[in-house]
Amino acid sequence: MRVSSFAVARPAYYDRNATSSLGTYNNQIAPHTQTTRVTVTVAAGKKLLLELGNINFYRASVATVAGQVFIQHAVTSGATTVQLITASYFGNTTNDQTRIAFSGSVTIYAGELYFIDTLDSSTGGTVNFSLNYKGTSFDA
Amino acid sequence: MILRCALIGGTNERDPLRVDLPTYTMVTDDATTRRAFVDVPVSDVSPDVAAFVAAYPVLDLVTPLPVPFPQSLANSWAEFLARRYDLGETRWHPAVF
Repeated sequence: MRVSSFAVARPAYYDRNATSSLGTYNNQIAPHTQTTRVTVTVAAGKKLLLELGNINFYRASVATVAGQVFIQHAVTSGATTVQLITASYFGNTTNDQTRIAFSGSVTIYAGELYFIDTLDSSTGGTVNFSLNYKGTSFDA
Repeated sequence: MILRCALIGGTNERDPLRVDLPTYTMVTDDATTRRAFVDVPVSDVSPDVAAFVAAYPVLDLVTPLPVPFPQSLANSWAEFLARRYDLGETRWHPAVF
């Protein structure tokens, strides 16, 4: 007879009903108000380990009046929002490119929300955005 | 699963333009028609909503649905999401639009 105890180690997170959480937003678009391109809400009994995210964007066509181009990856609990990475660009030069990436282990808990927003407050012109993330969702 | 949903918000940075779903990736949107194509996990789409989307396919962000999204379906989808995420009083009210 085999006897076990509560002290037995739990399986690693990637062995607890783990699934990939992936998102990608790729578009060349006109100026726009702040818009949520990606949202991931963590359900009860789950956690999300955010493994990597990136921001790639460039001005694809010149604006009449250049404004702020802004991107953020952020986590919110509702009351508090923490930006993981942000990028801003105020220029008006075609093909001027910004690339930022992060990788690591940001754990997002049940009820928290991970999101990616974009904003382009210019007048005219277009910006090409490529925004991505990869995480692993698993039993808490 | 790709759905065409209604956009909400857009008044300021604390109320960004978005789809009222817990989890999605936007494919493309139109702030004028207040519609967006979004990629939603299949597990977040109730079978009756999936059946409605299959019955009334849409190809652009302008053409209205041939029939309005029924309020009863919107209500049942909201309850489906609330059960699936089980986050207390948190509710979402997405609409195929």
